Amino acid sequence: MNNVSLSLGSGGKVSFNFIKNEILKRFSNPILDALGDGANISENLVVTTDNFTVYPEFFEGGNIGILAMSGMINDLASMAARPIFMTMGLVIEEGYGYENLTEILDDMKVLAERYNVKLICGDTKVVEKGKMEGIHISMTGIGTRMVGYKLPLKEYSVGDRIILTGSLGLHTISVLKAKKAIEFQGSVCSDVAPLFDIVDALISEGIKPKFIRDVTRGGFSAVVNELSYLGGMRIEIDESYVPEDPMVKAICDIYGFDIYSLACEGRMVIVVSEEESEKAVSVLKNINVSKNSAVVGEITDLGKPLVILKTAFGGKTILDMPLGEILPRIC
Amino acid sequence: MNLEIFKDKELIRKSFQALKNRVKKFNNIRIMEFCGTHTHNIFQYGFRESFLPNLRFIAGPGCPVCVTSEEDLAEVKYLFDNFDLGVIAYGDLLRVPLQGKSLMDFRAEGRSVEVVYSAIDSIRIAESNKDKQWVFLGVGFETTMPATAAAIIMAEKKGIKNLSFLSFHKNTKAILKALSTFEKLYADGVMLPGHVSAVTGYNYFKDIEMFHLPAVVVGFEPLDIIAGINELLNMIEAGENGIRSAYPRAVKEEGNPKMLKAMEDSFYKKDAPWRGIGIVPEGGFEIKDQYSFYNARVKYRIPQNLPVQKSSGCKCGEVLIGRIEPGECPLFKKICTPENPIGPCMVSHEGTCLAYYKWAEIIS
Amino acid sequence: MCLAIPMKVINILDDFCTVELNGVTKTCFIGFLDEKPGEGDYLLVHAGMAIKKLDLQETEEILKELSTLIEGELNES
Repeated sequence: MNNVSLSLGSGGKVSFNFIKNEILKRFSNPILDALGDGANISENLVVTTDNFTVYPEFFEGGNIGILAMSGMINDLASMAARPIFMTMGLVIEEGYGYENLTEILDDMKVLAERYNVKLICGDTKVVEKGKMEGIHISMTGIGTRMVGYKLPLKEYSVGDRIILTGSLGLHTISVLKAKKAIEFQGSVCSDVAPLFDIVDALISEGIKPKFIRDVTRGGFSAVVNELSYLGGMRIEIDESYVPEDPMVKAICDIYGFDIYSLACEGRMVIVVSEEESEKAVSVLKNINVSKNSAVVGEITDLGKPLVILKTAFGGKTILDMPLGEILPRIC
Repeated sequence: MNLEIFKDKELIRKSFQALKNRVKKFNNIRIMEFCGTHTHNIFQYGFRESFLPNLRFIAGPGCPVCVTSEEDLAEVKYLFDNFDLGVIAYGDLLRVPLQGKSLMDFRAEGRSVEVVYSAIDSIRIAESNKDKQWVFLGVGFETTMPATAAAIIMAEKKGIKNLSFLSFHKNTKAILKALSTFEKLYADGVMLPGHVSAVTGYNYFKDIEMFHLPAVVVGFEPLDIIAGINELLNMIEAGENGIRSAYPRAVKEEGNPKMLKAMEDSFYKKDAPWRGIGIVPEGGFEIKDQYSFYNARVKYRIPQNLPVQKSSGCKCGEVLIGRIEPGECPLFKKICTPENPIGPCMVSHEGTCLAYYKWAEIIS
Repeated sequence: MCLAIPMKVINILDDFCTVELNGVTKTCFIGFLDEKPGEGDYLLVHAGMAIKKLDLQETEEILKELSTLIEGELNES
């Protein structure tokens, strides 16, 4: 008998295969098959859905509520949509601290107000103590599209630029530390943040992004591999331009983590045409959450999906879909 | 002098370019890296394909997790099947197929599987979960064994009763000797493992002299690997054999005596199975009798010769010595795939077979 | 086989010490080092234990070799 392993939900190869072999096989339809972060359900309405199960639910730099709001907003932003409504499902373990719950809700309210999203319905369940741990949140977001075309595009051109809006891995490291799965002294804050503003800014500056995706589970590797698969194209990433956080880098060195597989919750990968790339980066650099944006790669060939990583000193390697769960290694 | 210079991208870029130019003057050089971390870094730094066709790398038997055998893993399965206990392991081991299942699969079934960064962490786990019995899976070569030795010694000192150790530790000196029973190494030079050598000293690998090949102890930074290859080319050019260290800041002739003693005090050598290679005389380490209370094999009376399922026909041994290329193995791509790896060369994320599997289309 | 990285000693407590890299600090077992390290020394850390104190004097040689390689190969072409 097979059992579901953690890898199935970790955004890597196993998740991807599960979606392909089990979900698409059963539920395939043109909206779903686009495999966007959300669905274009009409000319201008976009719907996204996501579950948040992070444990522990409080970590340096955020909590599960901020994560849920940001995740919902970022999924909509990835479809170039402005959030308008949301629904919220809460599943809470019996005995859960009431003050923790209200703190999480307070933080969500601040973001809902800041981004003008209305909660229109919701559901709350409490499960017996020990049947789950802490609190889980499921969110559905509804937004209106800000551009006249549907994202993500399927068509790309050689020379299109890949932009990354900041350093990688802060979220995973912050959560692993909160979990005590890794131990070190030093402050590493999750990058969790809503990224609507950066998409809004790009679009109001007249830039036409071809692909926007927030980097979550599976990390940068998963996003660029999905992009490569989506457009059937070869992408080359130049490691020397990838923004790097020195502490995350050190932790990756110590534990043998692959930085490209670590999750972020406040970073976007954006594809724009070569002509627009310079302007796009300068717009992004003016916004705090994307101030370290850089062009990190480009589409070099159409026809076959492949992601190549050019190392800082001229070597080349394959950037593969991550395997799943982030594990420390000794060799 | 500090170590920052090893991160100097401009120096790395120039050295790499210079080495590429130099390699062009050589024909069909084959360099075997003994150590899995070399394999990993050579891949990660993008070196693997950079020197083709003049120089190619052959990944030797140097990943202790990949060579953990079906027989070893059958013991873990036996423990899970017969006892209600938790297992503590290094993250590397979680995905390794273990008689049809992996540790991840066992965890998914609700078994306790704790991942640690150090063997020493197993003490903390045992102390804070006293109502449960724990078994630490000791994988690794001579570099990693001292941590297991330290944990065993600490466990005894603290009188911990709910922790034992299953040693799958492997002996790198023995595998070198075993490889010599093949008629030769199909390589022009060997990169010796920097971190095993840091513990043992490079004299430990003196047996390599029987291959009449140049051998260089190499570190792990890009500059170390570049310098190591360069040194091997120097030796190849001059027709010199023997061992040199291109990693002298960590490795000299003699190793770390205290660690060697701790290992000797707690382990003895025994014949042991290596995945894809078979029984290697003195190829493994077992916990000494004085610590038998901490030896899971004794504590749980694990039977010898547990039944194991094994695919026959795996030619990893020959891939490891460079006699054949992965494509010449009858299982390659047919039965043995990244999702269902048979031998260590496919288990390892950067093993030779997996690398060929991934790169085949790009190379051609 | 063995992922080990150099970390700098910032504090010593008996059989353990605190080591640092890029602002990240960790505890590391030093009970098996043949000589006790001092603050500022670099240790090679593997699986939570120091396996060797690095001899920084010994980096000169390798850098000299590399500059010979660069001179020889990059000026030629």
